[in-house]
Amino acid sequence: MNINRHNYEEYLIDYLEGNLNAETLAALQVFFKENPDVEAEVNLLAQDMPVLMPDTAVVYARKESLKKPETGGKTVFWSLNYPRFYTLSLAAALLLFSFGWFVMKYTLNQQPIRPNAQAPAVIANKTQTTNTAIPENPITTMPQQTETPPQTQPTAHAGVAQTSAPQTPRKSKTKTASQTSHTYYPTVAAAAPANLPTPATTPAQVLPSAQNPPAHSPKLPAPQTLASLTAQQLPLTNYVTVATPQYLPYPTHPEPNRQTPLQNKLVREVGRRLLAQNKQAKSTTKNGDESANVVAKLADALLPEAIAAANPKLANPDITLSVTVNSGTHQFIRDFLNK
Amino acid sequence: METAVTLWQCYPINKRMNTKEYNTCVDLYTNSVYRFILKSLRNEADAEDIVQNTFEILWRNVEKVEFGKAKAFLFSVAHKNMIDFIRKHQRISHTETMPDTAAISFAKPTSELTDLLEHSLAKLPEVQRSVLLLRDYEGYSYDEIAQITELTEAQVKVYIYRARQKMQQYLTSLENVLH
Repeated sequence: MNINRHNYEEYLIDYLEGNLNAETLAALQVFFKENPDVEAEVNLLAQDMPVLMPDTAVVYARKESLKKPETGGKTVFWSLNYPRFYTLSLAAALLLFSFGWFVMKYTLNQQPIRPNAQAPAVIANKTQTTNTAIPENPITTMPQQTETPPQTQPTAHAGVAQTSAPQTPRKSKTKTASQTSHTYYPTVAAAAPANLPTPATTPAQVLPSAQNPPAHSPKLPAPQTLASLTAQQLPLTNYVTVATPQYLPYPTHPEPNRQTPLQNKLVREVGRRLLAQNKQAKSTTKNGDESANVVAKLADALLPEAIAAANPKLANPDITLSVTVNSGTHQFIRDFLNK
Repeated sequence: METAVTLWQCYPINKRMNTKEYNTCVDLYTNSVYRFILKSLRNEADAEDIVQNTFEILWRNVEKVEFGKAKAFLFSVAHKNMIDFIRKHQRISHTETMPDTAAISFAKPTSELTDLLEHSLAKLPEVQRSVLLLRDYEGYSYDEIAQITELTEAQVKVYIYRARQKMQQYLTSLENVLH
């Protein structure tokens, strides 16, 4: 610590009152040895240091005039607090209005209206009778459940599937085009299996659930995979081209990832059943009705867009499958196709 | 005049003073503030005006000042008002050239030593007198005095040392004259 003639005064009061620490005291004593005049001055003050004593006789005579009356905490809203009352009222009104607006907006978002009804409900397929690569297989399409019991159109090939339709536990309602509204809008352009028989156009038929398998195992060929498919092995119309996700150029929904429309559930249900049917087809022997095999072939017929682009002969643009799904569903479908 | 407790006072503002605590401050600190100002200005009327103005400022800021810090707030405001008053009326020259001993005659007769100290105190510069009064009358620490007077702690210590030294020199000179 450096104590010199420029700063020694700030240590003298603490020195006189005995409040210096050992280090500062030692430094000050060194300074005193070097400056004996300062030491003599301090010693003189230390002998008789004047200290003032408070003069208690001095009082403020009009103390009571400084006090304020205590009213006991009465709250006055109307008489003296006009600005604050109206400010609080306005704030409360704004708060209620904001809350109501938020509720209304949220409620309206639950039922969005899509101006362009481009997304078909489940499958928009187009029959094509030219190619009959799998003529013996009936097809079962998406369960079209409504509030009424599902419609069943019995056919000779899909009888088993019809029986299990009312027992299907999952609820998946067919959505109209006006109910499908997503910003995330991957389009599944399908070259649908045109060789499917006529029952493929009856969407009311229901897939047999995994819990309720058919009474008798259908004849199922070995399931085909995409790796094994070639243009020479299968007809061209057996492939479904799955487009990559595309974002619509215009906003259709402010919160695309928030809602879980029934259509997405429906598509997922289709995927699950296709998987279950595929596994079942692997485990069953070739006997009985081959109606379920159609599903397996349909699953195998799905062709990713990348492969379709590389092999344009595989895709048939005559039949398209356009389904509106969200990102999770698309991921699911992509994983399913990769399998 | 009826004093309305406003709606804001219903809110739980931490340690906010109410009217009762303000009146308690009046009871506790009025004499101290008045003594502090009077010893510096040596004029009753001016000191009373400054005290009245100081408590009025406290009342206007009653919702912003904690009760525990009201005393320091009062002394800080009073010190600023006193400085403004002195600079405005230039009473420093008057008190140094012609001490108004009649102005402090309101008190009961004091001892000779006390009178000498009062005279020696009047000889001090304004800032030294203020810090010395805060130290000896109110017992504030050097840090608190620095906050009230808006000085550094080192400056406060230097001023107090110089004030005591000057008072001692004055008293010593008087003793030499008397003897």
